[in-house]
Amino acid sequence: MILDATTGSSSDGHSIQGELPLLQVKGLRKSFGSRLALDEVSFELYPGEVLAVVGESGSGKSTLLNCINANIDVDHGQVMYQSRCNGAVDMGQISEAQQRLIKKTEWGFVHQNPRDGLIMNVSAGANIGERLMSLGARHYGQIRAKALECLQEVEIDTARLDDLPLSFSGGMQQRLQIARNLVTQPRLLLMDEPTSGLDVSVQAKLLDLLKQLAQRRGLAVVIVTHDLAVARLLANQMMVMQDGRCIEAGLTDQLLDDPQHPYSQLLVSSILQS
Amino acid sequence: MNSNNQDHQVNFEPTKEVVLKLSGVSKSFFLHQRSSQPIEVLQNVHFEICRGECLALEGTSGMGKSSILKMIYGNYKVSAGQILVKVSHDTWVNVSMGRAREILQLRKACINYVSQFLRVIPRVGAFELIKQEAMFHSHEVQSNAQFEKTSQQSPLGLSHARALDERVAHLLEKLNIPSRLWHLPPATFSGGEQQRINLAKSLINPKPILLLDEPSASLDQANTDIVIELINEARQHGTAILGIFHDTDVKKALTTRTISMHDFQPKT
Repeated sequence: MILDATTGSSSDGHSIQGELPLLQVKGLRKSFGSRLALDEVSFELYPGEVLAVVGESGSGKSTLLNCINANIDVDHGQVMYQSRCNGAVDMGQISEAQQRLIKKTEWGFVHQNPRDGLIMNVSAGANIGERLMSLGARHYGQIRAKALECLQEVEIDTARLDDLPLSFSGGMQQRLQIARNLVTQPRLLLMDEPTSGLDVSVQAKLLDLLKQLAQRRGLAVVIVTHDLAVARLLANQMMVMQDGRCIEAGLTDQLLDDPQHPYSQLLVSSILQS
Repeated sequence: MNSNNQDHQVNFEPTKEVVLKLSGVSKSFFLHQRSSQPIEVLQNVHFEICRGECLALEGTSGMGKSSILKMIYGNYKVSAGQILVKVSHDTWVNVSMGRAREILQLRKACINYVSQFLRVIPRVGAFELIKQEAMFHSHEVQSNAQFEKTSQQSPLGLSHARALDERVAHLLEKLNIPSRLWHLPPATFSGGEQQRINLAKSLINPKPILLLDEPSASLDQANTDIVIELINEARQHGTAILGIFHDTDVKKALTTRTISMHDFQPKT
C-alpha cells in the first residue's frame, strides 16, 4: 500500500498522522475598505510545530496574526482551535468571554514592541502574576514563586523580579513579555516580529531561547517575520505571503533551498546571505 | 555497474528487503529571474536500496548526486516521478507528494541525512545537541500536559536519561572529540570536528535509511577510519545507506554496490 502524502491517511490504521491539528485556519479573508489585506489564507498547525510567516511589509502577515487572535474581525473564513477542555472550538462563533479565556490561558501573543505586551509601570513580577490573577489566583506566595520560575526560564536574573520593566533593556523586556505569556502554560504562541527591534547578538539569544521553549514544551508557534534567517533557525514550516495571499508554503528548508514561486525565489536570493 | 569490493568487510548479507525505491524521478530548476526555460538536472532516476546495503552514487561534480539525496530527504522538490520510502511492513510513503508535516514525520522516523554542513542553534553545546537529537526525534515532543507533570524532572525519567548521557559520551569519545569541547557550541569547532558532530547526530539515533554527502570530506586518516567503522557498523545492523564518496579508499571500504550517474543525465 502506498500512502500519498496528499491524503495522509489510510483506512487500516497506518496513517502517519495520528493527532488532530491544534489550529486550523480556513480561507481567511479581510479587506480594509477596497483593499484586500488577506485573501483566502489557510493553514494547519499541530502541537510542537513552528510556522514562520514571511513576506515584505504590507503583505498581510500581521493582519493574518491579528485575525487569528481575533483582534480584527474577519470578513470570511474560520479559525478552529482544539482547546484543552472543550475540544474543537470555532473562535469566531464563541462568546467574547470564552475567547478572552482561551487567549489568556491557552494562547499567548508576543508583540513586536514589548511595550504593547507589558504593563510598564508595575514590576516584572506583577507583569507575570497579572495573567495568573486574572484567572483567579490569589495566593501571593504561589504567584511570586511562579513568577520566579518563569523569569528563570527566560533567563532573566531573578533579583530583577521587583524592578519595573522600564529599567530593562529591550532584549530583557522582550523576554519578560514571553515569560508573561508562558506562565499560564499556553499551547499556542503567536508572535509578531519578536526579534526585529533587537541588536544581532541579543536576537540570537532570544531565538535560541524560543527554539528551546518550543521543543521543551511542545508549543505550537506562529511567528511573523521578514527575516528569513529567523525562519530558518526557528521554524520547521514556512509560508510566503504577497499581497495578502499565501503564494507558497512548505517545509522551511525546502522552501529556502528550492523555492518554486518567482516571488519566493526573489525573496530568498535577495535576503539570504548565510 | 555493480562492483564487488572488500568482501571481507561485509559480514552482513544484504537482505532482499527494499526500503527505498526511486522510479522515473527527474529534477529541473526554474530560475524565474534568470531564464524562461527550466534547467534540467536529472532524468529518469531509478534504483532501489535494500536493508544492509551501501549504495554509492558515482559521477563527477554537477551530475546531480547531491540533488538526489536532497530530493529523498524532501529538501528539494521532485519535478516528476516517485520516491517511495517504506514506513512499515506494508506501507510506503511517496516523498514526492509529501506535505511538510508528512515529510517531517518521515525524517523523524525513517531518514537520517548527513550533509556537508552543520547547521545548529548557536548557543547549544555539542553534547546537548546530540542528546536532543536522540530525545526529540525518537519520541514525540512531549505535550504540554506532560510538561506540567514533569516540568522539574527530565522528560525521560532519570535512569533513561543517564543511559542516554552514556551513549552520547561513548559516541563522542569514539569520534575523538576532546571532552573539554563537549559542552561548547560546535559553531566554534574545526571543520573536521563539526563534520563528526554532524555524523554523531545521525548515529545516535539510527533510522532505516542513512543519506551521506561526503561524510569524510575534511577528516584526517585516523578519524576517517573511525567514521568508516561506525558507518559499516550501522549498515551491518541493517541500515540502508545511500552515499556520495569522492575518496576512493572510503568508497571501497563502505560500499556494497555502485550506481552510475551517467544513466540519469537529461538527453539533450
